[in-house]
Amino acid sequence: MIRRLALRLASSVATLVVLVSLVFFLIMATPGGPAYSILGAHASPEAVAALNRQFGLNVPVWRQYLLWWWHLMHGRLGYSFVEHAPVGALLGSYLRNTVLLDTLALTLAVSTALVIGFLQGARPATPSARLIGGLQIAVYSLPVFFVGTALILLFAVDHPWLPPGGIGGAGGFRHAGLADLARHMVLPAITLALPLAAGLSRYFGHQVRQEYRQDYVRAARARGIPPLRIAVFHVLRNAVRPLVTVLGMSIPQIFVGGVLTESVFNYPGLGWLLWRSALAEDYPVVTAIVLVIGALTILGNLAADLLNTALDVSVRYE
Amino acid sequence: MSAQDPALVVEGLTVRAQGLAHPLVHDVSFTVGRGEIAALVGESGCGKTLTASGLLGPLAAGLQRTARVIRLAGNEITGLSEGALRTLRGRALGMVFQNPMSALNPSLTLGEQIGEVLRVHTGARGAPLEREAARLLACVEIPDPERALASYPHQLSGGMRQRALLAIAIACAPRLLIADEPTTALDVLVQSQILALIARLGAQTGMGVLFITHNLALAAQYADTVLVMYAGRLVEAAPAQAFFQGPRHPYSRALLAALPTLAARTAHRLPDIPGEAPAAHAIVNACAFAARCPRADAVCRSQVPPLSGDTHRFACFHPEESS
Amino acid sequence: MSSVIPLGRTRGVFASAQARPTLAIGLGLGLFVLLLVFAWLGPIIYPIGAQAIHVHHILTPPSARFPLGTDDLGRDLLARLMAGGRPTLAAGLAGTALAFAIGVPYGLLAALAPAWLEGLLMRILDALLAVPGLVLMMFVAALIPLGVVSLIGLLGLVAWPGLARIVRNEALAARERDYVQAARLFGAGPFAIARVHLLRAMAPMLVVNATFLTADLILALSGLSFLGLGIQPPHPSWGGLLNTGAQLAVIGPWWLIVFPGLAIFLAILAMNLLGQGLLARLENR
Repeated sequence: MIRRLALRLASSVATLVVLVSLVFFLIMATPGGPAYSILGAHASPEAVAALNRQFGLNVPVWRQYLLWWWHLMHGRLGYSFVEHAPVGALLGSYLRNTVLLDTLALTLAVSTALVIGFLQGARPATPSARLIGGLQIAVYSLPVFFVGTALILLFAVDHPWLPPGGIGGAGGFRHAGLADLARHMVLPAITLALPLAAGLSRYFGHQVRQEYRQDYVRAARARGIPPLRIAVFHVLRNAVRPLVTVLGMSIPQIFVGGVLTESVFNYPGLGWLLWRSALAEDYPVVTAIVLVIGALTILGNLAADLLNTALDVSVRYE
Repeated sequence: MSAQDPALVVEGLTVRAQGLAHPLVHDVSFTVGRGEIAALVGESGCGKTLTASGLLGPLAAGLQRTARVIRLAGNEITGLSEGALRTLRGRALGMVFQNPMSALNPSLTLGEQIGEVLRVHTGARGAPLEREAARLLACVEIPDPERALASYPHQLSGGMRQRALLAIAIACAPRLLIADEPTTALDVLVQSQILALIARLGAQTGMGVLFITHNLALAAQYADTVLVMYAGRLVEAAPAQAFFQGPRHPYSRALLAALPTLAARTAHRLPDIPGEAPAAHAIVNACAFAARCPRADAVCRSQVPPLSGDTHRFACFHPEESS
Repeated sequence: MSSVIPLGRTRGVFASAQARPTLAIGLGLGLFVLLLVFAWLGPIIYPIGAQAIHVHHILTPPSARFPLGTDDLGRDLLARLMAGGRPTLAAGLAGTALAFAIGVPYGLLAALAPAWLEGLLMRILDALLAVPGLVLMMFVAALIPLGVVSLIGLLGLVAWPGLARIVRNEALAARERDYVQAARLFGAGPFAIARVHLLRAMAPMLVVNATFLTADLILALSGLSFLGLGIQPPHPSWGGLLNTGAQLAVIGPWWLIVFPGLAIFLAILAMNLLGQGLLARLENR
């Protein structure tokens, strides 16, 4: 058990090291080096030389690489050229907004998926189950930026019931009360939750269906265990377990949906910041977000794996 | 219910599949006495398991059961609602399945799974429930019952799992135990231990046992009655002694001849039954065995032989001589 | 499992009606071919050019003259949708091909390599997979300006790690099969085994993944273009057209949102239907 844990941890750390190195060398490999990334492709050679001196970019690559690690270790993620602020200090509030939106969307999606997936998996041969199956593929294929834009058009422009974007309040971060925040979150949360719910419910429905085919379900029926008890105590319990892993693995997918959703709704989250910074070629911010997302994903996978180990007795004892 | 009522009386049990004109199990009638072991034998696919699950269900989707009489310890159960049947399953009738690994939920402890059936059928809770569960495990000769209650199925050997399933099956003192190939997945030594245990439990409690097997040697060792099925019909039913001394149906004789321990001592080669068993629903108006039978004639190919006889019943127009 | 067979057999009789893979495959394939025809043959038949500006018809709703309406510069939306379909669909297909060209050899190598090399190869995959494709694309788009060809390259580059992991897992599973073990015992080298047995064993799975990957890449490219980081105006692309619509949403030209969005949706739906159908057929087999 300890050995398994240590191995899993070591593999996560190794992945993180590889990620940080890859990002570093990707920046180094851009035509003209990082100075051009900062100053733009049409910068004069004098400006580039000046910048290289200023940022210590004229030292050998291996020293820059070590320096890069040194800064990261101390939480220094760079300096935003657009916002004129250290990136680390910038990320916090955006990250909080993203976590808020993603959690809300995930809660919506998971609860929908549990209900729909169970109905579908318990009676797979019925017309309604087939209809659900078709709808899942369709909804899963809907691009979030299309859904988001269409929802704005319907519920913010044609029928101005909800705000078309932002997070309310004046400055963008400080929202004007919970009710106002909630009004701003409705459309983005639904937009983000829709494809997620479609994918998760399809997966969960499949799990439920597989579980119902197991011999132990037949055996429980033959013992006169009531159907509701079989559904909850046996089938759901076993079908939910792999869902934990899938949720952990779908964190990147949620974030990608988040980037597009936040951009559509001008919702000031990490994805929105990434978008604005990429458009403005504010590469320290983009780099920092890539690293943060990568690290969070690796952590998420690790957490899902550990949680699953704790839940899955057969793995624990093998 | 009186003490003389047999554990199970079945008359005219038929199981049909939606969309198929001919039944998969056709007009099966037999009796299992108290404390008696009846072996239901036949090849794979002959309808043994369908016969067993046709008694109380539940049947797979698309299957329907009809029967003139199904009496469990004197109580008629044909015509009962699904809800009423469910309360009988696990209480008046216990079931043990072929694969002891997959018949237990892998993520629940033995204690939880034994406790579940007790709670559902007897309403027991708390400490008495735990005591009863431990007693049951001791009954099926699982060492250290207290510890076994807290273990998960994968922590136990196949034999131990089958004992645990047996404990669950007898938890509510059923009148009939259906053991569907209970030892096929186990090795030979464990096999005989489990069957001896089932026989002892039956003798102690008066529980009847319907033992489904394709292994005639095991039937010879443990059964009081032998029921032979072929292509969805009962073709021979007799007390074990009479059956093994002189089977009357050519199919039964062929089965016995194929037994290595009884017949092959003198022969160099195992005799086999030529041809293949037809699907139950493919037979229309003929003896299902006719195509493989050396004695078959025109009559056999135009009529279904009825199952007739007194204590030794068989369905054949040209039976083997009784010895 | 002898005694379970009759139940299994009867279940088989009724199970055939459950899924309808053929319908999904037919619908998906038909839809995709239709979109290809729309994008490549459409402009040949349709008289109005994608870049032609009609100054007196700015933001007109669908009409007899402009079946899908015009945009804010007075360009015909139907013509732009046809023209925008080409880079969108072509990049999705070409990106998938590129991902296969890198991912399949890499996955096979990871499956056959000695432990230390496998560890390194897999950590690289994990690291690349930790950053979502779209984020990686935005990162690169922020570093260097991109044209259509470099976008295709980028799509392939972000897509191959996922494919490589699937190939590696499939190869590991296939390697344990008896006939592969037997081939090894008879002295077949690792490359012969990879070519003859492993690739053949996983070919159906690869086809299924190709369809899903194409759907993902069409979505990624459209998303990137929607964000203004992909195919740049004035070159039309479905994502870029939807971007225009979204920016004008407040003044309500619904046709600029609905039709480009529908086009992207249908392309992704076609590939997902095809993939699901193929997958169902694969599992039924």
